Amino acid sequence: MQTKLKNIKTTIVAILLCFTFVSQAIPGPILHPISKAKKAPDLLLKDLEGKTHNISDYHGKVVLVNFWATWCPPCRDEMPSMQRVWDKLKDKGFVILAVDVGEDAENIIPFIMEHDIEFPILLDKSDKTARAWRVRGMPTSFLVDKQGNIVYQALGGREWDDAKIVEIIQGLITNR
Amino acid sequence: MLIKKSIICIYHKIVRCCSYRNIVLPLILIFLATIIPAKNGNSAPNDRDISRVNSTILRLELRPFALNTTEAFLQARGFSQNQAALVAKEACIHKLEVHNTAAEENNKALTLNLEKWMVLSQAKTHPPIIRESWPLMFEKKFTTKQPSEPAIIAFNWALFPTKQIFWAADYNWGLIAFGLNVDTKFDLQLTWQIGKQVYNKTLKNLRCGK
Repeated sequence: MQTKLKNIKTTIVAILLCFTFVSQAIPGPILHPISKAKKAPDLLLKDLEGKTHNISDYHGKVVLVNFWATWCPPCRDEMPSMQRVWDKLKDKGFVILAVDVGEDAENIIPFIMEHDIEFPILLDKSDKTARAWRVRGMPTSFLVDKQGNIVYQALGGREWDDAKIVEIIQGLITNR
Repeated sequence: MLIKKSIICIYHKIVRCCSYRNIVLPLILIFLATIIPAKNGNSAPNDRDISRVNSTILRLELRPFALNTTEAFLQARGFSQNQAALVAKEACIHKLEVHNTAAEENNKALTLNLEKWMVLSQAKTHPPIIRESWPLMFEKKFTTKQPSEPAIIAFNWALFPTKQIFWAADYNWGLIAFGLNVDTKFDLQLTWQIGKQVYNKTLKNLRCGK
């Protein structure tokens, strides 16, 4: 009888705790599909090592273009999950180009070192590329398909290694 | 009498089952954890200073920046001490966060246009200072030495966009300036759109940071 009562009490407390957390949860980490896929604008920028990246070089690969800055907390929050999805899919035709807007390499390098970020970080110091991509707030991300079209976008941070998002990316990789 | 006895009996059974240590204390802790805001550094405003709107798919939070927080933020972006102090004193900077909380299957566009918001203070009204107005204001305000270009670019990106569409799960945050002096009290008329439906709400008794 005592054990039964104890179990009931534990269950009640567990349910109440779940309710407390669930009621504060944000919606799922979804991406917004672009109904009419549009050609990605030019993106020709240097990375932290001085190497030039052109988005057209990645034709045939799925590219996540992410606009960010080190002073933007949600940008910083999503970076580790971007690294995890990159680790998972980099050898399967997936590329990440993280475009830092308005900052110098010296602002970015400590953050990159601290979080072991290995994918290319491009510098858009004059913010011209961000404007050409019609970015309004940071972080903003675009998924570009193998034909060079923007097919999904996300405003605000995401957990990029979430199963749903990984499934979307894998779907784009396997699409002809 | 019988009813009264039954109630007392049930009450005692509940008390026995739900001892203070096992049920009541966790309940109190859960309640407190829900209502007490997390402290986030010395400059964090009190919870009573934070205004929130939760309406259908809109979740909005507005919190005033203390004067020294605004100054530090601007200096970190490349403004000089004097430039930062002057902007902070007259801008009445708040941090604005907006979420579209719609579920994936109910993906509706939430549209914000800050030009349609209205600040009401001391019997006068004006819209917030939008991103596009700042370059001209800097030109007029800083006649001897303009803020550096990187500082202006960084400040521009730190500001909440004037017009923006939020799809399900989208969110953004940024600074919004109401163009009032330190510690000024004001009301703010908000407008937003979900699909074609327009919504309004007035936030009363807001106050600029000091």
